[in-house]
Amino acid sequence: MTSDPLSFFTIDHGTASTAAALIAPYGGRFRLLASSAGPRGLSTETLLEDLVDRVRAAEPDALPDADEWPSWARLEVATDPPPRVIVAAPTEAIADDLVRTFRATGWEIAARFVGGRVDPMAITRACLDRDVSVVVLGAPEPANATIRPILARLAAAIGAAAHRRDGLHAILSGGAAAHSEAFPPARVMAAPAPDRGHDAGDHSLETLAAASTTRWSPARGRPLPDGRRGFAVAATSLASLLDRPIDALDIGHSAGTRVQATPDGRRDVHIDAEAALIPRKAMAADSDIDAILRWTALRSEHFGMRDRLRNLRLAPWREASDDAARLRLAALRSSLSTLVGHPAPIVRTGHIAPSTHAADAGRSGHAGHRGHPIGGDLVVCAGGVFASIPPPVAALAILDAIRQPGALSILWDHARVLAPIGTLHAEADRRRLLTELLDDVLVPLGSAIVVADVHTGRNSPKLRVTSSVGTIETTLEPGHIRTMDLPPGVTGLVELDSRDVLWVGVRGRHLVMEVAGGLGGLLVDTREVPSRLPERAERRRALLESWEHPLWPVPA
Amino acid sequence: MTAEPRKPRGRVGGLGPMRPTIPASKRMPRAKRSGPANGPATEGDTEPTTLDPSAYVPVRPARLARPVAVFRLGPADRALVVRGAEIAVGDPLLERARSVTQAHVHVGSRGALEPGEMVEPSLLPVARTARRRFRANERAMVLYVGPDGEAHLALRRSPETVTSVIDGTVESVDGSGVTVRAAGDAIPAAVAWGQPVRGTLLFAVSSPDAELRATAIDVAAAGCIVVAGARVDIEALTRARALGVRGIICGGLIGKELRQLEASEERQRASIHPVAPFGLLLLDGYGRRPIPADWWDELSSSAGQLASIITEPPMVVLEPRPSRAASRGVVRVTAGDHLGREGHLLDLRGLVRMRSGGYLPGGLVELRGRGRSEPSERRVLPLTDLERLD
Repeated sequence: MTSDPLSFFTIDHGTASTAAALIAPYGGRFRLLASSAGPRGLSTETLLEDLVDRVRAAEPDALPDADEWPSWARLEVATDPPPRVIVAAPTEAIADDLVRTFRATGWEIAARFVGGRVDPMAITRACLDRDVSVVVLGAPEPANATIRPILARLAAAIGAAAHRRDGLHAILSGGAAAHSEAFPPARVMAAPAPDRGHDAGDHSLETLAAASTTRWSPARGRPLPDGRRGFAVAATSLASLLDRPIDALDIGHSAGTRVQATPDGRRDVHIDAEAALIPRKAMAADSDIDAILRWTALRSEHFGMRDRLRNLRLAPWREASDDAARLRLAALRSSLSTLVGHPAPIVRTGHIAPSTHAADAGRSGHAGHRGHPIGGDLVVCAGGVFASIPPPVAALAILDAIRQPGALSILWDHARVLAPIGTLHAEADRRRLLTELLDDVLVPLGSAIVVADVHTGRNSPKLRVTSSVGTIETTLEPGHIRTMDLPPGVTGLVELDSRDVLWVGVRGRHLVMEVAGGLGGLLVDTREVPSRLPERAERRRALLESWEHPLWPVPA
Repeated sequence: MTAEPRKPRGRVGGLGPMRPTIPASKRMPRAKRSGPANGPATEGDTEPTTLDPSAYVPVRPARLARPVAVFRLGPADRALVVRGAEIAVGDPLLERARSVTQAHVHVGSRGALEPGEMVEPSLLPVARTARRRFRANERAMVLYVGPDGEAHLALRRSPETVTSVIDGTVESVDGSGVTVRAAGDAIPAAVAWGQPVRGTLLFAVSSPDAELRATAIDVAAAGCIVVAGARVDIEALTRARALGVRGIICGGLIGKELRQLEASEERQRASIHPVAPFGLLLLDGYGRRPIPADWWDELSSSAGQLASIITEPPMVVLEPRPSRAASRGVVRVTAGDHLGREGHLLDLRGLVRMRSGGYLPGGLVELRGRGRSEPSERRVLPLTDLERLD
């Protein structure tokens, strides 16, 4: 029993569900003692009381003053549906900059207008849309003689719509600020141009856009820190703590978030409403729903599957079992592909775990592949959807999206604790908490080795995995994914031998690396990089089924 | 909290093993009980009593009192009410143009016309207006005046007045739309299609899980809002529209048939004849979905009375009436083989393994028989497939 009264809760209010966790000192350090999640609509106090009751039932002495739980500290975050913005600019380049800035800070791009020949009805209709909070008009500063008349026409059109609609706010970026008189004074603000973001610090357009998500969010009024920002901060702290680049992926009901963080504190954040599990636009457009169904091996009636996917957006908690789990897998694959398809502006060299030896390559610790960026070799995933599918299948979904050769460890923030921890102001506090909670908070889904350029023939590559559970040897064939038994807590030594040069993040003929086990074991992936799905539906389903079938548990 | 952090005790990924942990949350939760069995179990007390589901099962969106309805405006539409006005069913609400084309005229200065202003282009004192382009009495909405003095107009042809389908108070009016706080109560729905409509509530099926067939709709349904049960097919929808039915309320609809309805609507709007407004409300989502019993009872008690379908947000507005007593502790199955059935949550069953291999928190539910003569049965179901009807 401890007398330390530092028990606290973390609470993540998502758009579809609320996750809560009880963290308390135990055994000399902070431990995650209980966690739970429930659909939106369940009382948060009931969730918290249930956590306390469960711990008391299992370990009566674990929580001193447990009756005082309503007064315990709470690290709490909320995630709202992304607010929607219209982007307007005189040139495509400026529009691209604005889109990138607002997307990275959690906005959904509702419409985009470029140049002076925009359709007056279309731009007015877009601005009068009640679902749009903000319109941003951008231009370089100073605007040149070519751009000025185009800018004036856009300002006139947008300003007129802003006068007609009380709830529309305008941000005039860079040279566009010269046209503020066209807008209602109370609902217009000036901001720097996007290309000056690096110099303007706290007053950059990016900072303003990030701060504005709280101010103009559709669920405005909830005075809680933004969960997506908390997730990004925590991922950065984790990368620094572990001294490894991290690729953090959160697939939520209203948006997907990707954070690529490096040990030196740099991070790239991309928030995309189209990477939600079922994007909003898929409710009306059959083409978007069908894009999700391309990822399923199910052979059910097509229109019925469309309806079930749409119901998934209307009621995310329903039908989480059986066939619906396979539909969720398809939605997850589609969302991850959309999210990971975003090109990372931070180009980093790859980082192979220190225990990997590239004997023939003569290099260690760095790798690159034809100049393409390589993400972190540690993937942290979050989101309620990962709880509804078996761990090996979840790991497969990650590998389907992140197609790059190398060794990968996949961890799951099962209790959704990272985002609340990210709200701690002091980096030292975040690191201390993460250090102590690492084992409890991050569940290892599995490790994966993605091997490219595998060829069949007399000299097929050989793979040997040696661990405390035994030694497995196999020959690698292209186009397959297979799992090997490597439970959590067990380390395996992987040796790859080939007469031809293999590409596993580094090039070599003899590669040795250490991998950790997980709930899904070790996945060895020799599929194409990048992968291509057949266009014909039946062949595509058969291919997906061949990948998935070994990973789904045998029905009881 | 400024002490130097300790090094990680476990390493992740390629750095080494992690100490496996079994989260405390995987242990069976302690159930909260309601009713007289809250005390300690007594000898011989082997039957589980009803469990209070409020801690574990989300509640169905409750009946809404005086909800706010939104009526959107297009660029060429205009509101006919002002903020704060009290409106009644049938009062003009807004003016919508069936056909809109664009034109531009040179007006000389930006201050000459205001955005959102209604003008008669043929009467504009403009320098270079080609008057023969505009018919007399033709009206246009000013979209904006450009820096070059060019006014961009939306010419409105065949404007039609949209009347209110609810009594209420206008809460806001601007170029994007009109919001009205209704005087009645509403049942929220999942999906709406078509236009706001009002009509007499008529039941064309006898139970909430029945399906409406085309032959069940006859001319007596003209002017009514038909309650159609768990599903309605495209033939019934088409027949209903042809016979002058104002709207249909059902539990669910197959998405393919909604697309067919949209295509039919497009074809009708392309014709020169005005199309009668029609509204469709799906109470529970897509596919075949029974109407929840509580809402079936609410609608039944309003049978023969006037009701309104609102499309934004999706809901059916009924006459104001005293709230019915809540169905305490009743849960409804929202997915799976027992979709639509109701019962009571008896106990928790911890994590239950699904066929897909996932684990979900489960509960023991006593389901009412499918028919009056059928006995109740007990099933272990995922808590995520339940909703409360409080």
